[in-house]
Order: sequence, then C-alpha cells, then structure tokens
Amino acid sequence: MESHTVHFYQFEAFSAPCELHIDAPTPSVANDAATTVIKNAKRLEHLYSFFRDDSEIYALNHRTQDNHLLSDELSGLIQLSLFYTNITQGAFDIAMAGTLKEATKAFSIHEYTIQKERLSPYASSSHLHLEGNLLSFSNSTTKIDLGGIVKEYAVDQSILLLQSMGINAALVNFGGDLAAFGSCHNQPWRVGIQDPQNPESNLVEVDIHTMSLCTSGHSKRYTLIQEERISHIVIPIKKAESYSQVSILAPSTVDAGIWSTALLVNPTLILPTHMQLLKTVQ
Amino acid sequence: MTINGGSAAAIPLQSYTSSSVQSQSSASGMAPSNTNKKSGIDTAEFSEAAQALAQNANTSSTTDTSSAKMQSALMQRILSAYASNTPTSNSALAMA
Repeated sequence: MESHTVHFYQFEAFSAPCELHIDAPTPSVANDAATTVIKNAKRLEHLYSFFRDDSEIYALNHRTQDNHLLSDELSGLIQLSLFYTNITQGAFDIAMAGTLKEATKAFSIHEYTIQKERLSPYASSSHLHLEGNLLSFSNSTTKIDLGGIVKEYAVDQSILLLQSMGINAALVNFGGDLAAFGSCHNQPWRVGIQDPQNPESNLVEVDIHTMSLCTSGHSKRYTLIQEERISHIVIPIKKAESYSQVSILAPSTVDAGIWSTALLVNPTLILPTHMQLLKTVQ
Repeated sequence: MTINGGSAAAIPLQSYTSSSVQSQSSASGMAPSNTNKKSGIDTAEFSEAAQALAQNANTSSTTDTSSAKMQSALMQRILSAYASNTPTSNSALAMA
C-alpha cells in the first residue's frame, strides 16, 4: 500500500491566514496541488476585491454608467449571492455590505450614524438587476461587496481543484472557513470551534469528513470609531437579542459561511435541513 | 497539536506539522432589505442561471472553462442540497 504523508502549507489571502493540509504520496505531488490552489485563491482575491483598484468589483463600484457586462464567473457569483439574499430573507446582501462600507470611514459615531442613515435606502440588492451577464444598477450610490462569499467560494473551489488533481484527502482552511474531504491517516479530520472569550480553548470539537465548517462572529473583524467597535456585519436588531458567534456545518463552504452570517444578522431564521447548526455563542 | 482556523480550529488527530493562525470567517455587512422592491432571486431563477452557466462552460471559447466548470459544479451541488429541503426549527442548538 502506498505511504502518504499530510503536507502542510500556510499563506495569506483575503486578508486572512490560510492553511492547506494535503495528503499526498510525495512532496512533489503535494507541492503541485498546493501551488494550484494558492494561485487560484490569489486569482479570486485579486479579481473580486472591494479595495483593489484593478478588480472587477472596484470597476463596478466606481462606475460611470449603470449597465455593465460582467465576466461569466462574476455573473455566476452575483447570481449565487442573489439566491442567498432571497433564501435568507435579505439577511445576506452584497449590496448592503458594499454600500454601508462607506459609512465606516467616518471619524465619529455621530458622523457614522448620519452616513449610515443616508446610505441605507441604497443598501439593498433590490437596486441590482442581473439579466444574463448584464448587471444594471438603479442608482449611482449602491455598491457591492463579495467579501461575505468569495473566500467561502475559494475554499469550495480549492476542494474541487484538489480532487481534480487526484488528491484523496485534504483540509482547506481560509481564515476559519474550512472544508475537508477524505481522512487524515485513516482518521476523520478533527475540527474545533475556538472560544472567542478564551482563544486557547475550544468550545466544541467535531470530526468532519467531506464537509464544510464556517464560523461567523464579531470578535475578530471590526472598525474602531471613537473607541467603539463597528462590526463588519451589520446587525439590525439589539445586540442582546443576537448571537455573537455562529458555527455551521454544511455540504459546501458557501452554504456554511453565508448561513452562519445570516443567523448573526437574523437569529430567527430557520436553517435549511441539509446543514447543521453546530454551536452558537450569545 | 492544534491548528487554529480563527474561531474554527482544525485539530487533526495525528501529528505532523504544527501551526497556529488567528482569524475569523469574513462576512458581508448585511441587514433585511429596506425597500419593497424584489431583492434576490428564487430557486427557479437560480437554477436557470446555473444551467446557462453549465452550458457556457461546455461551449464557450472565451470563458476560462475550468473556473466555469467548477462554478457550475458548485451551483449544482448547492441546488441539489436545497431541492430536498424541509425547514424545521433550530431547536438542536447548544448555547455557549
């Protein structure tokens, strides 16, 4: 029987630390697979960045006209996003994310509140219309941000890439959005959910086999305005009524990631039955 | 040995290379739609879009077909998961 070793790689993409654990017969096979995955992750990061001035998203958000012919892949990503906007009853919305980002540039909470109020009417995917690859905006203020989907999408693509290269087992972890397939030395991949209050310990541990796990929360990513934390996730309800962290197991990383965020936004949403709510923190 | 993936920490049962990273799942800022206009697309529309993409992935001479095929495969996987869905309550939760 062929002897395999799990090879480990670290890199940074999507402003997050990323890891690959690839079970392969030789370092050369693992290196080739890792190189392909990293190259694809960087490609997605580059193409769909909100901030890079040479990204397709940047061009859309700094548009001089309302109609744009998108690349096939971006069109598919936006279709996917609009599908999730519908099934999460608006809890996931790429236009909300993109449009309200402008308000976080404010120097004071007072200014942030005013800007948020001004931008809110435009912060909805109802201002987007996608027909084939033709995307139309109903106004010049609405912006889109794929930050809530592209990293998860990249994890799913990584799994598909690794499988297409003949890899039988791997774990892909992009900043806490992770997916695994196969087994690690004939054992399931064991995954833990970090305690946001005590990062040295785990709240829960679970074995995963051909599954994705995503955790969304407010503890790591936020903007400071006058010492007040403005979360990267906009919560329309009182903090006391919402979760501070949600972890979901699902067949795809896109599914797990979007629903973990959607439940942060709206804890009354009912999770589809093909996924599992693994852990919540209030 | 613990491999931290932000708030989700991966802990393989066997030891090989140890590492530690600190991050958390990214997420778009979100909130319920504040207009009465249609927001998002339903499953049927999404299915149509996925089929169009799959067709394009197989026939286009200009599209990056490997990316398009991967995207199409992912969309089909998502669609099939939602096809057999019966929403229930989230009562199986364990709160920290």
